[in-house]
Amino acid sequence: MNEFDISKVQINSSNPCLIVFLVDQSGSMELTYGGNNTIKKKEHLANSINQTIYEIGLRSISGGGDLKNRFEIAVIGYGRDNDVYSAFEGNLSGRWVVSIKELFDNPINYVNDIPIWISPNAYSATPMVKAFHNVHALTQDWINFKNANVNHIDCHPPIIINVTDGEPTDSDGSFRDLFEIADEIKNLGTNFGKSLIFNCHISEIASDPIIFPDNDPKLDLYSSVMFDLSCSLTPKMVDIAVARGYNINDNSKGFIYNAGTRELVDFLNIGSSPA
Amino acid sequence: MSFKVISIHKEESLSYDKIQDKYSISNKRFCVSDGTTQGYDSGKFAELLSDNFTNNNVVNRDDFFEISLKTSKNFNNRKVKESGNKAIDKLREDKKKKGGSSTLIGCNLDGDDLHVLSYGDSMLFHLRDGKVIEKYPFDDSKQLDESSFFINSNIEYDSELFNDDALGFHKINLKKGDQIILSTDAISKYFLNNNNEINKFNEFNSFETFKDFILINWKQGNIERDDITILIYEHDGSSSVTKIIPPDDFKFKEPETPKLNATIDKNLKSLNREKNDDLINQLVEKDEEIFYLRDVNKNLKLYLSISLISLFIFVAFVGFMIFESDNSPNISDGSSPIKIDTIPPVPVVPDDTINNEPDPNRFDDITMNYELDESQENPVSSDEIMYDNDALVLPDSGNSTSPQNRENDVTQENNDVTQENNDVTQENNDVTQENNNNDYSNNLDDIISKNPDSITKPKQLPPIQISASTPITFKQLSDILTTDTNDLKRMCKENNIYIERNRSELDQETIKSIVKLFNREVIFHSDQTSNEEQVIEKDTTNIDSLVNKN
Repeated sequence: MNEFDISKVQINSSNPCLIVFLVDQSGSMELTYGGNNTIKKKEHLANSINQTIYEIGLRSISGGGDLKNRFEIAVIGYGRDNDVYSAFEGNLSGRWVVSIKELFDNPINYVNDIPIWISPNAYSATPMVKAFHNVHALTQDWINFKNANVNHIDCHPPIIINVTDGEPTDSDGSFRDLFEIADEIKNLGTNFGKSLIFNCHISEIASDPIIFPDNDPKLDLYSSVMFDLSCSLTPKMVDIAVARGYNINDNSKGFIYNAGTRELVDFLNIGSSPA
Repeated sequence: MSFKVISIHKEESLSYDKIQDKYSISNKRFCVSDGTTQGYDSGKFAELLSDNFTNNNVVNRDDFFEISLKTSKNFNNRKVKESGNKAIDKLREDKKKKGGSSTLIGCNLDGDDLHVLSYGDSMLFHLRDGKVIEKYPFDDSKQLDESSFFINSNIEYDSELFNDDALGFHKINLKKGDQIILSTDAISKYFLNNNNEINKFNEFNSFETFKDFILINWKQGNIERDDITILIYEHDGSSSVTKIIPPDDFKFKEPETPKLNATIDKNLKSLNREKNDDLINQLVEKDEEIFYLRDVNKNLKLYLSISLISLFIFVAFVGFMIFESDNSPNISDGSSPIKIDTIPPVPVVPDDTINNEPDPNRFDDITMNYELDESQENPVSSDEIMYDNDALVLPDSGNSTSPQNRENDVTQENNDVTQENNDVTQENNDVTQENNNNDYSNNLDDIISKNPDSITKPKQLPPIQISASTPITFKQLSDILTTDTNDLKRMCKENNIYIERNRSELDQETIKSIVKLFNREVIFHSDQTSNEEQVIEKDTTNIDSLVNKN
């Protein structure tokens, strides 16, 4: 077995894992979600991201009750002024990467005593290609970081989770530029493997979702693009998905098309559970 | 009973008091427990469980369940420590709901018999003569990895959480000098993969050497970065406990959280700047293209204008030629061009810009189609014979001595006169023939030689002499005045001189009024003329002849 086999990787404060949430905040996120007439897509997405960050916090509490910096989180929004930006607010506004401990020191509010970090937002366009470019720069910097106690090259490879409700507005019809930058991101990696990109497409209509497929669903060009952009789940993620009742295999990709409310929450939890 | 405890906490725990591996030695019982990371305050649960094991005689499943339940109750009665951070306290509350959990490997010594209890992935190694002769409960690291059983504090609320399959009992018969090693999972896995290394731990006599060994193997990935606890029992009848554990002042340095924001901001700005530069370059390229296209457009417009003008001129020329052809029976019907000798024009009033040099370019545009008349000294082009409203237009002679600047005007005026008098010209061919010998140039030379003042003082021209007995028409008067009938008519109108028709006969008063417009005088005579007036009379005679002919 390889010394740097992904199944042997440990995630702790000396070897943290970077998780990047790419959040579509385009104008269409203002619409209601999954056939539900009361909750908007932007609200459900923000709630799900906040809930997932909280779950990551739970995984970072040590046996002694201390919160450990086992994860470093980036929440990157795209859509405001056709631009890409840190979606953190309050004291963390403008910060690209924040440790889980610092996140719990700086929530912007509480809902039912649960801390939250981002609020629902919907703006205009969907500059997804530009967002991927920013993720590339961020991921590269994160991987190259090292000091006397920490060397990110020995960490779990970064995980990028993109949640969107539509096609990018800054790509041509072939999505070639999207593929190119996604491939560049996937070529960045640590000793334990290449960076992982997962994609979740959410829909305002209630329809049958395509969940963690192992083959291109070929519903349309865009679904095929999303499938090709997505990486396979890690064995640990497959175990968690199976435990949650999903019928998937080792070749299943981190991709859901037309995800409903439950699928989105599960997707984020599974995708952010590297070990 | 001789014991040696070797232990170190994982880096993430920073200090030894945070270690979640626990051990207990009491009442001929000893054990090691491993509080799990997944549980809440599992270190404390492991400590309570270990103490309850060594303080109670556990010989079967029920005994162990009893002490596990007792431990859970003690654990669950504890309040969550408040951190002062609402978000973290909420995390702790939720984490506590998952319960504390721990493994346990414990021994109860009864003479040379060792009764072993196992729950979870902590292990026992039995060494004799420095060699491992028995491993319990796993034979290899794969079995260990597959183990996922823990005693959970929530068995107080759900006894089903106590898994009988995870509980094991074992009995070992010891010989003097045998060693029993109890170890938690990380180092146990190392022992399973490196049997020969296990004796090395007997040689560690200081924490420093042990720590260095662990740090190297952590770094090399040979040992998982987890708490490590090894409890070595030597069955030799002595009674001692040696501890190789971190001193109170030993702490791992807290890992630095990378301050990536500035770097990433810088890179993102650089990225955006690069993209902006690309856009600017594209704009510059587009600008250059636009300038080029503008130049092309400008040139095309110029070429188009030139082409249109040329086309217009060509069409006008062709149209004119067609028109000429339609109105020239001698030309359009293919007959020979009319050969008419030039007639001297009405004397031109020279001005001070007179130039006696002939203009070589004068008829350049119509000298192409000469049809030479061998009998004539000066060829006449068919193009030069133009008809306008039945008026024959004769070109001036190439030898004309008319002033260059006025040459065309004079010629035009002469032509106009000739045109207006077409009928007269046609019908009075004899008159024209008589004047064939009267070369225009000679006439002009005569005028100039005889009346040099007339060149520079046109206003001092002699009066016009008109026969009082012969009526004269407006058209004839305009000829005498060498002006266009239309211009003259316009002048008359402006001066309130009424003219009915071109051929209207004019009375003497009207003639005077008209002549006065030209700053000249008119004399109505009978037959006598002065010498000085003979030149004019000559022309007048011609006119009179023409009139008489009419």
